[in-house]
Amino acid sequence: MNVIETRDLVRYFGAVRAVSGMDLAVPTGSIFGLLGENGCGKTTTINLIMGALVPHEGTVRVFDEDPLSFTPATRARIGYLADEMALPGWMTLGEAIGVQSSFFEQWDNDALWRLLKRFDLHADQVFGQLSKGQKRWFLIVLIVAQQPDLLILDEPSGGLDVSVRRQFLDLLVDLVNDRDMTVLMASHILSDVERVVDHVAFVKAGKTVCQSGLEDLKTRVKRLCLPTGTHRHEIEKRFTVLSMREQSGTLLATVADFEPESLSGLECRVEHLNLEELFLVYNTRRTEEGVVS
Amino acid sequence: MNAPDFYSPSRQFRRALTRDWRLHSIELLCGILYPVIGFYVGHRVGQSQVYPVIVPFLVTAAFLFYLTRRLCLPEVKRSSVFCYFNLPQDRLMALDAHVAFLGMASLWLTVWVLAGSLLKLGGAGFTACYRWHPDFVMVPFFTTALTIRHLYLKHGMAFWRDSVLWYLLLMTWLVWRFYGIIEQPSRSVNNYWPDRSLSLTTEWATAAIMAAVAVWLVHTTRIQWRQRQIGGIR
Repeated sequence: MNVIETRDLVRYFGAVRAVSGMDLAVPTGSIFGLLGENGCGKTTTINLIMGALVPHEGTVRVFDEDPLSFTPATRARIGYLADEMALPGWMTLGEAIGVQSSFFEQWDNDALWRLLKRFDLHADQVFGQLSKGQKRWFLIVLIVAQQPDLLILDEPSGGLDVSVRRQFLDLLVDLVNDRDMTVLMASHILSDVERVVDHVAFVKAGKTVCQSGLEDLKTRVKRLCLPTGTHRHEIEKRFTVLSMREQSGTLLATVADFEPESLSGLECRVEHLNLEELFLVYNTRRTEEGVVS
Repeated sequence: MNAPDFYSPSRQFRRALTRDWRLHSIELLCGILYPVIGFYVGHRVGQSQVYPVIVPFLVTAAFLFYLTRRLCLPEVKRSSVFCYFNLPQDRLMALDAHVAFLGMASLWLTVWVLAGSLLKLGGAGFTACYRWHPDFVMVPFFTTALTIRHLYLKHGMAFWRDSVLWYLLLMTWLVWRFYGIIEQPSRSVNNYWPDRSLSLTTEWATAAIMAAVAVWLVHTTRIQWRQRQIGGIR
């Protein structure tokens, strides 16, 4: 069961095709990383998912509903943190909580204060006087207190220091484990994402170039280090090759459908790829080479 | 409380109105100072008091322009958590709450101008009870409506064409009234009524037209915002 599904999503801004046939399927209870370079269409995709933008082609379903006709009750099931969100600088945290909580039927005050205490935040503190990390943490906690079923985070840890980022990521994992929440996060800080996500989609030029469970992807995609004399077509016959290049007397072939049995008779060393390397492999490929999922 | 009750239109409206009050009540209370200051702007105490009678209304209108921007811009630009697109509320309801709040704010400040006139603020000679001009009273309301329209509508060619028309009309009327009153002040010969260049009946008629246009501006803005709110950005 997928919480979010998009099919052939297209969105233009003038003549610019910001999203160009995006297909996404975010499974219930997953932490899904939407990964891509700046300007690749992540935020536009999120705006389409939120119903803040009208798609020019394709469909979006969230909780099996069209975002353009969300009811307030459905919106309350979604917690959304955008990059540029803010609160009035003069407001105390207590006042902000009072205003925000009035809009939500299921407001978890206990969780809110428990999480605020982690950063030593109190009701009488003024929002404008908080540090950047505290502000971000406060906004995240405000959204968590809504008790959403789906959390959509656009660059959630941008500009935060390592310790705040770490606490935030731990919180995400706790939420998914305790509340069966689904998380969609768009980010370009891959080291953060790798710590928590279980599904990823690589986005390039407004299109999904790879979508998969992270562990599955790591199992399937490997880098083979072969002697330079190895015939390329021999490798291409056995595997789907994503990239191939020579480096320091070694032929490096990244393959998409690795299976140990297919190596029989080949003299090679197998290297595992981390998320950053996987991202680079797919991001440097030509878009038309297709989606792997 | 079940979800349909919690998200009923009346509850949504009340919540949105309460939010506006919580966020902007201090500005509204401090805003009283502006119409009061308006009585002392642009003239010396003891001078002919006919001219400043319009000034408190203009100052109030300027303050309401500022307040309307403060209130509505985060909703339009989606720059505040409290007005964010994902808040579980009908965005048309949010606009209605803003309109209601700003309508009450306009009324509240206008009452202060009228009270200031009765209290003869601005100088001992300020016998404004002789000089109330009904059309002046509409200036804050009209300005608020025009500002709401400006903030909520897409700024296309049609918008600018209409806006130029409305702003020119408003400014021409203001300048004409302003100078008309300055040039022809009240005298004992006319029982301290300024030579209005407009009869009181015409002023009432002008006020009624301004009120009707303000309502029409807000109404058309609501219709277009209803279309815009679905999909937010088009």
